Amino acid sequence: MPLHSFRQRRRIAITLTVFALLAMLGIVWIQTGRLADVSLLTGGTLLCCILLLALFGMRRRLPILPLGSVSTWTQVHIYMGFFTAGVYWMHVPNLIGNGIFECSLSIVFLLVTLSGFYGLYASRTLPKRLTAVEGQHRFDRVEWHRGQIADHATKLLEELSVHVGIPVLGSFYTQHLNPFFNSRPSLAYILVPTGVRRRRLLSDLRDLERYLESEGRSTAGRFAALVRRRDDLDYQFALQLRLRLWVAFHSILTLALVAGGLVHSFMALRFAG
Amino acid sequence: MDASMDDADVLWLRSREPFASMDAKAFPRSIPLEGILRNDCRIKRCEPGEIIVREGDYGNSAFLVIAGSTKVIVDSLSPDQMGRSSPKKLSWFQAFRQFLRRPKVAEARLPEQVTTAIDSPTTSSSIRQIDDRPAIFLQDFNAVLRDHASVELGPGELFGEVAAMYRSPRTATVIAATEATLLEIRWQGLRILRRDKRFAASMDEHYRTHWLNVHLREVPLLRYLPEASLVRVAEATQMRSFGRLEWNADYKRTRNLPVEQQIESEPIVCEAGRVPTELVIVRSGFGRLSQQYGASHRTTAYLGKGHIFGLEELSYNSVRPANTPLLSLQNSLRAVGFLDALFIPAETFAADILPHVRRTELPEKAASLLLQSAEQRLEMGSDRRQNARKQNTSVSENTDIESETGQQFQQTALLEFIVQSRLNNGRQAMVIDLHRCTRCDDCVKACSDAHEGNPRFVRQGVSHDRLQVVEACMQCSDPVCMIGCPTGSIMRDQETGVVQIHESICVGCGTCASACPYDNIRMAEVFDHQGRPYRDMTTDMPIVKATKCDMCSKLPSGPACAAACPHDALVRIDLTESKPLQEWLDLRS
Amino acid sequence: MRRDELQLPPPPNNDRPGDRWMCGRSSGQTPCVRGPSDRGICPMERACRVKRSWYGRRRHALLVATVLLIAMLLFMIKSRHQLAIIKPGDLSNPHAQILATTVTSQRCAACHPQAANTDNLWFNASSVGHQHLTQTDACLDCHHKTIPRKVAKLAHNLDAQQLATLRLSRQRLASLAEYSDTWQDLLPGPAVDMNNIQCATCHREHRGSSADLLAISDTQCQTCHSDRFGSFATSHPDWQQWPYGRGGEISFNHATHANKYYPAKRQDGKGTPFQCAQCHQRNTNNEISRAASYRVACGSCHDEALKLETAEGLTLLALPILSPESAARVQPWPEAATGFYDGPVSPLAELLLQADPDIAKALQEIPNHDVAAVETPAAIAAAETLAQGIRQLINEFASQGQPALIKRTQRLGLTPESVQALLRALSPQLVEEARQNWFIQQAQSKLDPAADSQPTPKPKPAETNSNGTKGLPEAPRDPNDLLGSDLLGSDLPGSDLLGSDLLSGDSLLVPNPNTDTDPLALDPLGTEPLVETEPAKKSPPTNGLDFDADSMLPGGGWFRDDQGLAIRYRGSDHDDPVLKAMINIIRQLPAGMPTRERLLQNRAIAACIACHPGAIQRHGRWRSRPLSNIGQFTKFSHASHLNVAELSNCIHCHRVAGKSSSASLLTGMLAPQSPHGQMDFLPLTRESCSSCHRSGASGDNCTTCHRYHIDLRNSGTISINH
Repeated sequence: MPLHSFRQRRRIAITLTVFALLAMLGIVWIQTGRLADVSLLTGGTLLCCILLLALFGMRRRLPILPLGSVSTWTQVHIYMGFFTAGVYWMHVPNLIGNGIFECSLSIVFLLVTLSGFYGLYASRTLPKRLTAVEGQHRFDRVEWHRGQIADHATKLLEELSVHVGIPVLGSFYTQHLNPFFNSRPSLAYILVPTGVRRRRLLSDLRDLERYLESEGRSTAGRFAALVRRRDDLDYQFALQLRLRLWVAFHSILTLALVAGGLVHSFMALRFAG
Repeated sequence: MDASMDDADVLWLRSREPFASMDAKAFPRSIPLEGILRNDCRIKRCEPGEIIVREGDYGNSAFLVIAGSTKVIVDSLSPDQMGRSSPKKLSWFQAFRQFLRRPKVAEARLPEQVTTAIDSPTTSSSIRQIDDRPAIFLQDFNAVLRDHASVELGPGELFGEVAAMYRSPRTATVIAATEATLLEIRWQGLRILRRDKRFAASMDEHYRTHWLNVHLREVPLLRYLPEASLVRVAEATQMRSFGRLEWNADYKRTRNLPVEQQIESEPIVCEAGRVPTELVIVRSGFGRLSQQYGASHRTTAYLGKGHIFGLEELSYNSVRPANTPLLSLQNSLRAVGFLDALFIPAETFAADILPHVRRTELPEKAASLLLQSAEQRLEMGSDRRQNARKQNTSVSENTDIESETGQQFQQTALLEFIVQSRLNNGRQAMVIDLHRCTRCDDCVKACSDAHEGNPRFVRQGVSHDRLQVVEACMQCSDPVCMIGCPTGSIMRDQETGVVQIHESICVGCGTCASACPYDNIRMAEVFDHQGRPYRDMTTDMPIVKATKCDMCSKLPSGPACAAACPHDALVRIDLTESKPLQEWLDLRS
Repeated sequence: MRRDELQLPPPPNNDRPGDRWMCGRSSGQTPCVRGPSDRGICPMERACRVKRSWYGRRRHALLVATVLLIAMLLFMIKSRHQLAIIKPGDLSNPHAQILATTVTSQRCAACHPQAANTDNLWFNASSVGHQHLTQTDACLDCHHKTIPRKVAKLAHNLDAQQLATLRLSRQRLASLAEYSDTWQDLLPGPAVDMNNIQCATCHREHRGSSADLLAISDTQCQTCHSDRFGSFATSHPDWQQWPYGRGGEISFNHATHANKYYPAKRQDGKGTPFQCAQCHQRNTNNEISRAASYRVACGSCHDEALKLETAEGLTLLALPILSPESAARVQPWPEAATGFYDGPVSPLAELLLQADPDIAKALQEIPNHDVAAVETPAAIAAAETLAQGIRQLINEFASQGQPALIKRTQRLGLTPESVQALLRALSPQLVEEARQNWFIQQAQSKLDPAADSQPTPKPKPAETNSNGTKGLPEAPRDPNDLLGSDLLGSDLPGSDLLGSDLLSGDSLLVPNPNTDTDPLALDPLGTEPLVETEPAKKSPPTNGLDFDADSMLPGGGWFRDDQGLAIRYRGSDHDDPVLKAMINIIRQLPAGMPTRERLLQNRAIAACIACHPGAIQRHGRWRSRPLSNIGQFTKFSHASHLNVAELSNCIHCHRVAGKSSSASLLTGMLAPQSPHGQMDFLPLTRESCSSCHRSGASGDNCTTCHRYHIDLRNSGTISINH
């Protein structure tokens, strides 16, 4: 395979997808014109597409076989996803089905599609935001890092030898830092990670400096560093969680979609005509 | 090195050749001959059938036969004979079955994977403890000797010194034919011993006659040289080494130094601004090209094995019009850790090399000068040049060789980063594009699936800008991990260049793991499939094995990590050249 | 203070992201080398609480989701509400209303035979008994009234032969019109079998309650058609005559009325202008009626003339005048009917007499159906036989009444009803009276001059002939003939009356203006409304027995004509029941039958048929209806068009042709079939429709103007009306 730059590759793939959609649209138009049962055609295509798309999950779970690189599969998956959304639009009379089952099925399809589109957006934008933040934390180790930071903060306080600073930093620690270091980030933060929390704590710490002598200031500075680190960690956690949640959401709903789609096709074939 | 050398041993050695005839005064007072013998040498007793050195191994010591007989096997032995299980490619079905049957226990091994059974009919080698060291034996070595041509090395003969001095793989396997006593001399010792003129001369003589021609022939620039010129070049060539051969030990210490300090600490080979007198051909190790920039040096390129320094300046100086000034060196060359180079004097270059170098391979300045003079002689239209090119390309040997004079990147920072982290050593470095990586860890999971549930790397490592170089074995071009393996279980595959660990003969000593400057080899405690740890019968210690990335060489799929990345973020790439990475980056700009 | 100076230890590098569990020892401590087992058990003596890795959590979620999914599917299969759940969308309102009364479990089966007899309609194959039952059959269980089952699955509900007919006529049309080659012709043909089209092919259900079951696109319509086209405006095939030329049962020439009669009448400033709405009024549905009633539309101009025509009426029978010799042979024969051979045979009597084979034969012997022409002995014998037959007819009717006549006509294949309708108002008593008058009284009076009655049968003829041409027996017949046959073209009773009148010589001048008028009153305005006949006839009544039909029977009716020794009917005006009954009888007679032709020549009847040509056609239609099956493939409603101000003016579309243009339109292909034989309108162009009927405006779908389902049960034939 010749090497194409991403931009080139995108252009080729979009062209192909558009052509495929147009071809499909043409076939559907012709078939509708000749009074053929178009829903069988589009439905069959849709089912095949969904199965192929779902096969991507299988491929990801079988990394040991030379079935083509997963990134190639991803490209096919993405553009086939667009194609499938188009075919869905040709298949359904309304965007959301009428019956209870069909309604649920179409909602599931739309959820899967939308989560796919979101995933495409997220997987192209979030990594840059992640890279911009210091530290490449692994998701499963986030808690370990949190523990480390919390322990380090405790140790910093214990090491503080100057008695003047102890009440100042100690009370601040117990009131603000300890809850911050020892709890998980709030749901709101996970949904929308902002710098508000971090800025507030840092400015509070800076305000404390007037009450501290040099060693205390140094400790406060270390606390500030820990706060920054912890905030970066939470930021990474929130974004990584988002990236992982949509994959899980997408794949679990895909399961429902495949099952529902099969049942739907079974019934459609059974009741056809 | 070894506390086993006592004064009696040193004295005894001193009485024997070649040490008996050495002049003790030639050695500095701080490092007397006796000190070398005591600290950098040790006596090694070998039993019949023991494999002393293996073909393909990297070693940092030479061996002097003191008593007994050793045999050099002329042709290669099969990996099986040396206790290495030849990695067989699995079929799809086998790979799938292995995937499904992967053990639930971490680092689970079957008994035969843990040790080489002595009476196992399948393997012809075994590991035995000799004195206090593990040694690997060739089973039925008489039959091996009968089947293979061999050369006997008797007392007083030295072998393995080239591999030790010049960081090249051993070229042959040596087996103890009888019970033999050898003196193992570390490369540091060898170096100092060269102060003795006779010893040095004999070593040089040996190198020149046996190896220099070979090494010169390996240099692409010289591939059209006629035999006579080559002989003259070889005569004039000097060999010099810079830095520490065991750079990896230094590197671990200095890796966190600021760049300017690190550059300062690197031994300088040629300095910018001087008129070049010699052409430098890097034989092994790494070099950094830098220019003064502000208060420090700015790296402009890096050199690796086979790269040439000073070609542009020298060739220009040779062909320049008579009244123009000489071109001085534009870059400084420093040894990054360790550099071993051949120095060819400028006159020899002008007389014997330049006429035989293809003009397209020459730097632009010199090439254009050459062309001007050539056009006066005969009309070389572009058509004819094109034709000439076409003819040339039809012969595979005649193709142009690109970027011999140093690896550069558009971004200096990236270059600095790569040299600073010594990533230019990596031939299969795992590079992640952080702007596309969703941190899904599918790569690690794929690695885990490909290795029976045990990932061979962790998604961490130094990063620069949008690139992260993951701590996975890079299959280095200078594999320091392979130095000093007692059983030869770590081994580079000749075809693929993959450094592999043959676990059944790995004794878990950890030499390789501690040698790897990138922390890419991990020692893993092994368990059976029920989760019980394997223990050494004699010491009752848990058995550990060295584990590292093997590029999934057994699998039909190739490296699973790269194949598993859904976002084109991960690649296994050759960093010894700048082109692949540059191209890879260009694709995603 | 820079955080770079903060040295935190690197995380443990023994990640195993493919494992479901990971070591619970997180904070501060390094996780143990081995980690928890596959089942999440920490192998250490002091076991930690292991945690799920992300992979483990995901697996867990997947497991829960799978279980939920299976549960939901099971619920769906086993639930009572299964059918409601799997229903793929609401039915259209009418169907939904019908099914609302059905038991829930049977609702699917109402239309889907596959679901007929299963509790578990998922996994049971279609049962054997219902294998050949299709959904279309289920549709037809309700819809068989509108579409016959036999033809329901045929294209356009037409069988192969009818389709072939259509195709032929289409090809004929195509040879006239240009066949357009469009790219649509390249599209593939239909995906359905033309002889097995399921309802669901076009009528798709489960599209929601307000969905249009009848929606079908132009491409779908055209898929079977050999000549396809794009939009209506640009490429619909042209029509030649539509909507004209489909005829109707009333002969009405718009062109002459509009261009000639109405303007002529308007010259004096009175009368109404020619206005479409005057005749074509809107009915309750706001539709344009096809025709106005006679009284409203035609009567004002045509009433007088028509009355004149119908007053001529019918003659049931008339006694011929026989020579005294013949009369003697016939015996008894009224003296009044004795003289020179005379008296045409009334066609109605001929019809009734034909039942008797002897008389039928005799009738043929009489030349020109007129006894006056009798010369040869054979003819004389035939005339005598005829006379006897007539007498017998009178006797039968007088004694047995209508059944006798019905019996006679049945042999000719006439229905009793039609004959009864004709004779409804004719009482046997009238005939009996006539018999009494003509035969019995005569016979009794003959009892006195019994011997003389036969040899001297001509006191009156003597009188009549004494007027002019005495010597020639034929002479008095000539004016009669001129009047009866040549000038009037029918056996006018009036001529007989005149012929037998003493003043017949004078009367020659009188009836001329009457009889000169065209039977159809083609030029009614040109004639003077000579309604009142000259009172010439009124003078003759010399005794009480004299009967003047004109003055005494203005409403029409049967009467006995003692002068002409005939039983006659006098017509009233428009819509005379007896004349209608007569025409109904005529329609039943075989075409080409001489009697039929003679009946048609009757003035009254000709006057009827002139405007109602359909009355003697096969179906016998009196009222105005299109001849061909209107609205088979094409449908049109004026009502909706009239909402457009511009279109409320009829002339916007329908332009009456001028004389010259109407002549050129005579070439219309359907002209021979049309009773008009010509069209009096300029052709309606496609452009006049397409100016509004385009997509985005009034719509240019096929179904806007065309029907798919053709129902032939009422009309029997199809036609194509381009």
